[in-house]
Amino acid sequence: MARNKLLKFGAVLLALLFWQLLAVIIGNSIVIVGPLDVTKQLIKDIVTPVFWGSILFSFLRIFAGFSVAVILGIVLASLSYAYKPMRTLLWPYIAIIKSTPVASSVILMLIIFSSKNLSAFVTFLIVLPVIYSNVLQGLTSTDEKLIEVAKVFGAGFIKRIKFIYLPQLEPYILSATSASIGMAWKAGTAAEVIGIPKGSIGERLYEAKIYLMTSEVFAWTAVIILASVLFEKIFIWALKFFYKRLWRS
Amino acid sequence: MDIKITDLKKTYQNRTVFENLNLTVKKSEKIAIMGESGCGKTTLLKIISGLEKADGGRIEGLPEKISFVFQEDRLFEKFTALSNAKFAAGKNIGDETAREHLIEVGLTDSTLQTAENLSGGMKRRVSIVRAVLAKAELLLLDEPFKGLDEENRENVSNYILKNTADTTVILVTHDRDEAELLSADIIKWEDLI
Repeated sequence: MARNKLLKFGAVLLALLFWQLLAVIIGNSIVIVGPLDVTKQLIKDIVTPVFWGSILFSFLRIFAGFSVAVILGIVLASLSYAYKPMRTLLWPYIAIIKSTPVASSVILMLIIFSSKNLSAFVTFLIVLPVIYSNVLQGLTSTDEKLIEVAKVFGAGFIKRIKFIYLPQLEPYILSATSASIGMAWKAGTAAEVIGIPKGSIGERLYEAKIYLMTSEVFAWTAVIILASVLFEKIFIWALKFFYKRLWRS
Repeated sequence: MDIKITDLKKTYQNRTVFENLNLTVKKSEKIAIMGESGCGKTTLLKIISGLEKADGGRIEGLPEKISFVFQEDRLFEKFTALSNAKFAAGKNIGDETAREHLIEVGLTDSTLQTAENLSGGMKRRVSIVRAVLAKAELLLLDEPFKGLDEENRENVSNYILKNTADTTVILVTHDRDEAELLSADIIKWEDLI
């Protein structure tokens, strides 16, 4: 395990070295900047209130869109599992949401709403079908034999949720949320770059592009990646903590 | 009240599993239905428990509360032996009582272990305790001692007998020893049809 981690760390170092080398060889800071310049840029940005304000602005909206999508995805999947006609009824909506390009959703949202909460809407649209499909798949593969146990012993709704459905959904929710958090940040910030809501990460990226500040683009990209990874780690930790408590209850 | 099964019929995809099945079980009686594997014993228990519907005939006198030891353990793998044992128990049965029952079947050190970490024999005993703690008026046992060694079979059968004095018990098995351990009246499957 420790060896594996060491190897991974070595691979990251090698990639950084390769990146720096590429930046030196190309020697054009508009095309590419190396990790050292990106770090310098980050250190410069990190002390400004605008930096943290932008992160907070985007985070709050992406988090809101993600949370609503997770809750609604679980509710809709549960309804679809309980009532088959509901599954058929929802099918076209989920299919359309799943296959609509982010750019089209953004433009439509910009026509209907203001750009301020754009990333929340787009995140919601990206995450909802992932959660819905995964949770529905988890529910439909529930062990019928355990459902029979609940029936025979007359277990109520809460007991069935606790003993059968929550454990059944654990791997599906974990993989769905883990996959969709990355997608949420990518789509959310992409939407902000198109809609340019004031005070967002997207606006910072857009400005960096306009003024050809490549080191800013790289720095904000690093921030998005870090925020996404951190958000994912915290969310997965919270989910696992919840399940640990459930098993002990 | 006695349980009276009259002219029961069950078919699966145009194949008749059994028909004209008749059986009467007196209140608090313990009977063992013996028959070859695949003859329809489990299906009969599933119909009695309400998990499956019969295609003909009727069952009268079924109590409201029925308990079942399935052929498979069917435990909630992520939960502890104690949680599993208490699953069907009423609110009056607390952790301490459930623990005492588990200890009685030899699971002294495993009450807080999750079901997924228990051995096959241990899981079997937890599923039996779960069924007993349900305190139902009718207990259905489908090959309940499968996977238990000699010593545990005897211990668990004593446990069942001690805790089901007023309970009607229907056991299905192909193993005569299982029936004898519960001192049940043995009925051959062929005699039911």
